[in-house]
Amino acid sequence: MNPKLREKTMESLSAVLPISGIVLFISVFLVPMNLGTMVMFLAGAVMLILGMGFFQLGAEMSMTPIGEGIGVQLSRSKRVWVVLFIGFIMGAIITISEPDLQVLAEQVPAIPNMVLILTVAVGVGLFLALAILRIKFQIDLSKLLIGLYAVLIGASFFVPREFLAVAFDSGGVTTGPMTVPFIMAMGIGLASMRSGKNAASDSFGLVALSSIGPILAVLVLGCFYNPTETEYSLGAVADVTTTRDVVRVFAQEIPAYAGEVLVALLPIAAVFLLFQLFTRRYQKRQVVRISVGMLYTYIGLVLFLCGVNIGFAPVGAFLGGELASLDYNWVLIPIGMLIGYYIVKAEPAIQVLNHQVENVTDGAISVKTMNRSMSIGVAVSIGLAMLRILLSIPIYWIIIPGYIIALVMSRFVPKMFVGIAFDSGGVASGPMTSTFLLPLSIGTCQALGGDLMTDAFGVVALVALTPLIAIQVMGLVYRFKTSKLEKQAVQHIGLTADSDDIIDLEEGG
Amino acid sequence: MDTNKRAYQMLVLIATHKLVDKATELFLNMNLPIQYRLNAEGTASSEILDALGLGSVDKSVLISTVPQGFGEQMLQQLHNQLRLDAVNSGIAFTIPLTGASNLMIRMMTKIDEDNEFPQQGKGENTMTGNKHTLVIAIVDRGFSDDVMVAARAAGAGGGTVIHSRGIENEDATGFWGLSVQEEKELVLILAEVENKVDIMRAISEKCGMHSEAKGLVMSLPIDAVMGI
Repeated sequence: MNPKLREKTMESLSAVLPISGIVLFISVFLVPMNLGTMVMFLAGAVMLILGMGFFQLGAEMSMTPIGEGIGVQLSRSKRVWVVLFIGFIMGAIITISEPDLQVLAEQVPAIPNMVLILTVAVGVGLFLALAILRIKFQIDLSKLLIGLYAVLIGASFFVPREFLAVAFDSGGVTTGPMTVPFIMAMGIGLASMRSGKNAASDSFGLVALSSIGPILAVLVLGCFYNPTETEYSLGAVADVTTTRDVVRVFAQEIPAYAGEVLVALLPIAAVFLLFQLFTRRYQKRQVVRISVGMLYTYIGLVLFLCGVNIGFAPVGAFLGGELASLDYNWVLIPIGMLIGYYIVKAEPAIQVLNHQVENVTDGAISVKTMNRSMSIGVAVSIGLAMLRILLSIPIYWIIIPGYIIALVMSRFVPKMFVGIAFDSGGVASGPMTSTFLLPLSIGTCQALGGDLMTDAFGVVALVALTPLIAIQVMGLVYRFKTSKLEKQAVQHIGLTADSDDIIDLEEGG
Repeated sequence: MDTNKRAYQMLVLIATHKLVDKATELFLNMNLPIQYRLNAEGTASSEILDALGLGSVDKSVLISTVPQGFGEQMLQQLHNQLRLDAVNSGIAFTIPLTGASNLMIRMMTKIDEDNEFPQQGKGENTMTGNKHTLVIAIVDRGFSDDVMVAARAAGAGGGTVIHSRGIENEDATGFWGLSVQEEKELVLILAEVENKVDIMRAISEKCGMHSEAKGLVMSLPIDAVMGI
């Protein structure tokens, strides 16, 4: 088997199989599920595996080189305003094309969809430009984040309580499978052209700042619109009895997703075309590769979104509802944690982030290490989310101390980890979170008769929060380890005055 | 302070991330104090696979320095433990060092003390060596594909691409107000000595300074190779 193909197959299998296995296990031992639902779920899982594989390969072939190329070209320009303008435009375009944002817009009926999407796009654009300015003037990322989150938390007191959870959710949701590979690569391109000791750590932090934009945008909108109760219709499980039904349901739904993803990809294809016309950056073979990559990305996203929406979302809601009605419904907390631990691997953007981190750090932070930290982080967040729904704890009580801990930590952690951590927050909460975890908590909340707006929503915000802390803890461990290793190596030999002498090994030297 | 004129080598391993992880572990167990790792890309063997995105695999380059006899033992170890004889797994080779900081020399001498390999005197480097040479081509970004096409036609097997930056024109400053560095690609090709000149000529003709690729080609001596 072709080694690349094998690598991608293994990657998507290991992303999707564990979470499917857990659901299967729960359905056998805790909440019996009818076979029709199960078949739909399994069909969804197969689509997820295929979609994930195509998406990973496609993003690597197209999104990454385009983003990186734009970053590199931007860093060559001498005019600050041109760079900022292009940064703003790119941020806005890529956000409008984010499929996750459409989903979010549907979930906030109080605000007209178009208003919400455009405001969020402007928010992301402004903050992306700000992220570039930050690198230019070498403003410390952690100081900037502290300032901005202080503004956010301050603003949150003026906004109706019902908007709060949705606002923080939107930050996590908008940085999804389209935005992340692109903006990450752009950051790497921007930073790669400069030498200096901050070059590597400056590669990160763009997604982090970009995900503040949407939160602020929704908070601002919240001041102008009156919240109304969300009529969140949970996708009912399609009624299937025969195998033909299963195929029919998917066949009916695919065109909708095919159209949606096409609309999302077109602006990026246009940007690529313009960029290539102006700069002639890519050779013929690379243009071919990027075009094929776009096609892969397209196929991958259609399959993924279709599988997750039809196969996974109803099961999430069903599981939540059934588990909550059990006598021992505290079981939701450990089960939620187990699901959280494995589901984060199935987020399409996560693997892109992990690979980029591994590349930029030249293997020092491996994909495996990143995966483990993210899994632990998200496991904790789902545990908290379930606890919150069961006990109806206001989201303030978790979000505010959480961010304070994350921000305080950012003063002590190596710079690069601050960027990676705050980037990964936005990345961890993608389509998997909004189509499986959100329905799971909505199902739970409905079964318990809680308030959807305040209790069920907010799960995305928690998923976006805990990785900040988990990754920074990893950074502390890393710093501790490396400093110890270095000391050991030198102690082993002993540093003497002649250590820096040069020994000539050549004959007659 | 050792005054013996022992030979020392740079040990280079180019393999998939996974194998390099394993090798790192192995090196650590043997107390090799100096290890550097960088990322690279394999090169595509066919245009169709390349267009499909299945052409190249990410690779890592692991660099360490060792005393000569130990270097050969180490190559054998890598060969056995990483199964470098399998297709597409990786290659390892050693390049003679001609000078080093004293601290490095002492660290390397320590390796001999830590590990009990039968000592081999110098002058035995003809064992596997000198049949191969390392050809290095430095071209502008995006032209490594062309380099490989030319090199393959002249008898090269595979290659490895390392993305890098050239530091040349001092007055070109960009957005950062610092000097902007040209993006370059370093193509490493391990070739048999008899093909060396042909490969270098072929690369030079297609991607030399006269072409868009603005390439330079050079070659380095190799002591010993494993995994070809």
